[in-house]
Amino acid sequence: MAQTITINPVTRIEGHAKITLHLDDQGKVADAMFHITQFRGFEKFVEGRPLREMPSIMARICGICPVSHLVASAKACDELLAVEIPAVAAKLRRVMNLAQLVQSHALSFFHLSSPDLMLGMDADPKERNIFGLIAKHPEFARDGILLRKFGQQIIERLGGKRIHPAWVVPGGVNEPLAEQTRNEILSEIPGALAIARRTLEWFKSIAPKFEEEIESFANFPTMHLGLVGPRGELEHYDGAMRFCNEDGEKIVDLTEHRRYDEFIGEFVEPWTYLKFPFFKKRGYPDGVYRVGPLSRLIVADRCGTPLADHELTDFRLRLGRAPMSSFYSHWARLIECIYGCEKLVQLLEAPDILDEYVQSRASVNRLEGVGVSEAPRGTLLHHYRIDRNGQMRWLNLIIATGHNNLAMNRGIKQAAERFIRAEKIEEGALNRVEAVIRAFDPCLSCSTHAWGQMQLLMQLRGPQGELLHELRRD
Amino acid sequence: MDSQILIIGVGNSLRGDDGAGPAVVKALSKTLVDPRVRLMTIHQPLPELAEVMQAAHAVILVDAHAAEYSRGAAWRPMEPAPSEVMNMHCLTPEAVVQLARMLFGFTGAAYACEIAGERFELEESLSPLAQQAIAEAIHQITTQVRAWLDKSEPTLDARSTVG
Repeated sequence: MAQTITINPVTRIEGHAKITLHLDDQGKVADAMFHITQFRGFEKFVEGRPLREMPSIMARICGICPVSHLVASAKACDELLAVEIPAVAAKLRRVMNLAQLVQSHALSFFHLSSPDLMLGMDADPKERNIFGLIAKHPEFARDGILLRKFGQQIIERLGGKRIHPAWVVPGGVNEPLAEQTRNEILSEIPGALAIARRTLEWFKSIAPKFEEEIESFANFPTMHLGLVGPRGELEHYDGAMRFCNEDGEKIVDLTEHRRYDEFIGEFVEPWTYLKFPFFKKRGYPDGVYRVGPLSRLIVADRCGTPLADHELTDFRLRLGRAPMSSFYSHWARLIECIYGCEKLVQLLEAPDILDEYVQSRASVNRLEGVGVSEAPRGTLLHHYRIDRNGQMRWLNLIIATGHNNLAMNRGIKQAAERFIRAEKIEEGALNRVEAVIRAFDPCLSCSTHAWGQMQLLMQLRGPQGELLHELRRD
Repeated sequence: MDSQILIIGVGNSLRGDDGAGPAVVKALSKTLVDPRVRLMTIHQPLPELAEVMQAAHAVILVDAHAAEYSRGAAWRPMEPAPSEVMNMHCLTPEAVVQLARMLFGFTGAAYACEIAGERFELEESLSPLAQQAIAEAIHQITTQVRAWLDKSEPTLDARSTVG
């Protein structure tokens, strides 16, 4: 008897979504679908807006990663103006981008995923949350709050506010860095770095206990995409878009970002608002690739900072050059937090970081521009076309969660095949299916928050739609 | 000197009366100038707020509420309580107080000052109902905080003076 299981909404992710699992006549998982149920329409309603408004408007796409959209949008606008922004402005944009990387990774790891890791996938869902975590491991919970605050506070100091700062503008940034602000940030980095390092050590100690999850959390070969610097180092602001194959070997380094559509196609399915990007040369759906912290560590030759490089070496010694299980995204996230802290020191100690000339000025010099940066959850691409008056005529956004869409759908199917039993739905099994999604840390445009209870409903229905079994999390 | 009284305006000024909390704090920033008072505004209570609260003797969260529940401005003590919400970038004020107590040793008193509003759509203006409640809140907070501050240090005890 064919059956359908629905998880709606998926909890502890950024945004709103549901999962549908279709069971075959033998009660085995036949298919799995991750539905994005929000529709935003940014690509359409900004048509006609002046290009200089774009970074601020685009930042409104998301309340968690507004800086990513700010940066990618400003870079696309830099292309439209055909300007080379001041070197210090690029450094300052990097500072804000890294601050967001750290705060977002802290949110994902400590607040959203660590209850599963610390308390267990099968723990009572009433306790398997941040308050359960606090009750049993207050030091750990405090670390999470402080690490997130560290990143948020940098964004606020630079941009005037934590959410939707408007400091990054076409041509650079609109204010230089004050010496006192620089010194305050530098003084806080050792504390943040210590949190990231001890959390990583803890994670390495518990990861082997999750053997089943490692084996079944999107653990299949795919390509990977991420930015790399000129020497192949880990990169989040600029550089080449590098595609690697399933073994972590380079396929292409794309330095001219405007050629992205020679390599990336986008497919639309009728059951979700999120598009399915794919690697064109392999077609749809075989051209599945992933982005995000794990992908960035796979495509990069090295990190480029001492402690992060040490951890990357250890990571590769233990797991190989290209570990595919998305469970390891948590590990990669923590390495990136270490990298972020180290890189912030490098940037803030640069001799020119306090320079006052922070913005290049120009009018429209090109009618098409592409901006690419790394958001915490993966590669982000903004592609704009304007008219001669500088008004938006067309745009395309490919966000990190979109790049991962194919892999996430296959990932939940793999986990469902492993953990879901038709005869009875165990809450822990349900949680593991959700945890696959959480490992990707998708951002489903979290600027629309919902007050109140985030429910989780999983239903088993017969072929006539009759309810056979239900599990509800209130 | 560490701030002893922390007043936090909660809300989004782009959502009509939801901006009442920040509007109160903005007004207080001109009239309630004292090194022992710290004013801040936030869009919504986040976990990081718990760390900010740790050194305060008293915390007042000023937030808008739908007028169907109450009119004007009303005080209530906030008891710590775990959040039922799993979404960690959207906590209840009581949950933030709970975090502050459990993780950062916050021992002060916490109060909510609730301001009645009726329009929460996309607009920057405040309804007459909210404007009246804001004026009440400013008066109440100013009176109460001055009473606390007039007590000699370090015995400022917020718990005993709010009725």
